[in-house]
Amino acid sequence: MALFLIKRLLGLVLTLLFAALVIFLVLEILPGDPAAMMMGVSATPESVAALRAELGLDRPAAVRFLEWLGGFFTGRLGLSYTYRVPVAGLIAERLAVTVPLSLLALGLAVAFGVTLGTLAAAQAHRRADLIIMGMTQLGLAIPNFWFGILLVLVFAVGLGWFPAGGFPGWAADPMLAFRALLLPAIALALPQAASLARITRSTMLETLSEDYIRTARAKGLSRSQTIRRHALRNALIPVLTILGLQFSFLLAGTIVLENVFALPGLGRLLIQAIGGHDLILIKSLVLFYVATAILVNAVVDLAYGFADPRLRVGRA
Amino acid sequence: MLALRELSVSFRGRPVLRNLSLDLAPGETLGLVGESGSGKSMTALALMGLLPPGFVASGSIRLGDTELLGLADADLCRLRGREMAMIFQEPMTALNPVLTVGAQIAEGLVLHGLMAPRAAREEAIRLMERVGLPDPARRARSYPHELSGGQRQRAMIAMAIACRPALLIADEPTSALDVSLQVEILALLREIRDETGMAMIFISHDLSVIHAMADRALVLYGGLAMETGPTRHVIGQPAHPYTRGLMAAIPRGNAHTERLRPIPGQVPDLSRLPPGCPFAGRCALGDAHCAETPPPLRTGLTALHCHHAEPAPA
Repeated sequence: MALFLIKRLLGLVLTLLFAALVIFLVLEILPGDPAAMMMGVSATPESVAALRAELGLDRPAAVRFLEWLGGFFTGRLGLSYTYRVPVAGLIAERLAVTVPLSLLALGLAVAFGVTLGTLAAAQAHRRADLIIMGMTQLGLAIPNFWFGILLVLVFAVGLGWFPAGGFPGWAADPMLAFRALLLPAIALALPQAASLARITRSTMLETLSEDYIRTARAKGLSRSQTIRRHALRNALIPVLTILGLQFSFLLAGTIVLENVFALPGLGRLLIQAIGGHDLILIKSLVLFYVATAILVNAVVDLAYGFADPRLRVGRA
Repeated sequence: MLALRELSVSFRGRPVLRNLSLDLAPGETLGLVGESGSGKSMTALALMGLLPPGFVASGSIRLGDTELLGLADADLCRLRGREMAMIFQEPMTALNPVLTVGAQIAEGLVLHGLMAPRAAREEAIRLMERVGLPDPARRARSYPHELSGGQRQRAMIAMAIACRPALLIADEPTSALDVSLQVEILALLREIRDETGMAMIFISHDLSVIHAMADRALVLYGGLAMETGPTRHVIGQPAHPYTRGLMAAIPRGNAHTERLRPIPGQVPDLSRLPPGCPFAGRCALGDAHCAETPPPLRTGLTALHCHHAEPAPA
């Protein structure tokens, strides 16, 4: 088990390093001098050179790469040129929106996806199944930013139950902050819940035809008890893998929806940074996204061992 | 205790089991013999009320005073595992891979309200010891994949007998095991049966296993009972051409002088059974009349369904 963990961890670090290198090199090759961008069109060559020196841009690329990587541990990721504040602080502040938003969306997607998928499998080829599968088809087909706009029109503009956008912050009124996140979370969760429901349905149907399901029924468990106690966990093992892969799409979704709902999260920061050619900020943000996706998949790998005793290494 | 009357099972209007009647007393073992597709397993599943979707049973199944056919699933759930239990053929796939063996054995005891969870866990360990699993306290925390095939079948037996059912159905419980393990498991089942006085339906395609286990034997072919009676008569003095054919096909153990005599022809496709005797096409005595008209019941030393053969007088 320890060896397995070390190997897994080593692979993780190498993947992250490689991702960091690619991000750094791409931004290095791209045209555009950050210092000249900051000074504007009227800057003299001397003042640009001075700023370059101040930002450390005149030093060799290798040194800057290592310094940047070190910054992820020391918190010194440089200054954002558009915001003129430290990048690390900027990211930390925006996480307070994006992390709750993605977790909420993930929670909704899993709760609805797994429940509806299980229900559809239990009612396979009957009316409830057909309705649920029809809904998931729609959920997959609707782009989530459009669904977000629709939710705003109905529940914010029309009914006035939720704010149409913006984020009041957690400090003042956590309930208000939560309400600001609910509509975008629903929009984010929709396609995820739809595909999770479809996958859960098919793995559940497969599981229900297993011999041990018949054994459970022979013991006297009812159909629903059998599904809950014997089938669900087995059916969710493959769903777990899909969940890890889908998390990347969920992150990408936050970028779009934070802009639709004007939420001050990482995604909105990224779009603004791109608009402002804020290369230092872009670099760190992109690596942050990549690292999150990679880490989530590593966690899923570990969770696999918990869910399926057959995959536990080092026990026999 | 158990009485089947005219039990028939059909799938999309086609019969898979026809007019099966039988009685079973407490402590008695009935051996169901037949080739694959003869309807043995369908009989067992019909008894448990666990026929796969699309299969319809008709007739009557009485367990004690309860008519099982037409009973609501919730009522059947109270009987399954409690009054009647079943052991399946494949110990590899019949246990849930993500639950510990102990938990799976204890589950029924708690479900049927016989024990609190903690007491059930201890009872599971005792049951595992009873079925001969070594180091039961540790094995109870193992997962099925950590057990060998024979150990899993023992765990299966522990699970089935946990609530001390009045009827145990064993569907080819040893067919997936090595011969030496087969003998051990059969001995264990016999011991437990004699200890608890439960009735048993033992399903096998292997006549020697039936001979070792069953008081009475019932030979099924193509969904129809061919011959039934005390095991020693069915095996010792078979009268039905099919039972005779089966006996002749058994190797006697002399590889040099003996000629094995397989029954000519093939097992009929269940979806294409003749209206009469399903064995008609392969039978030496068979004629056009056999395939057209269901064979009459003739009783003697054994009871059989045949147009031509007569059982030895009782």
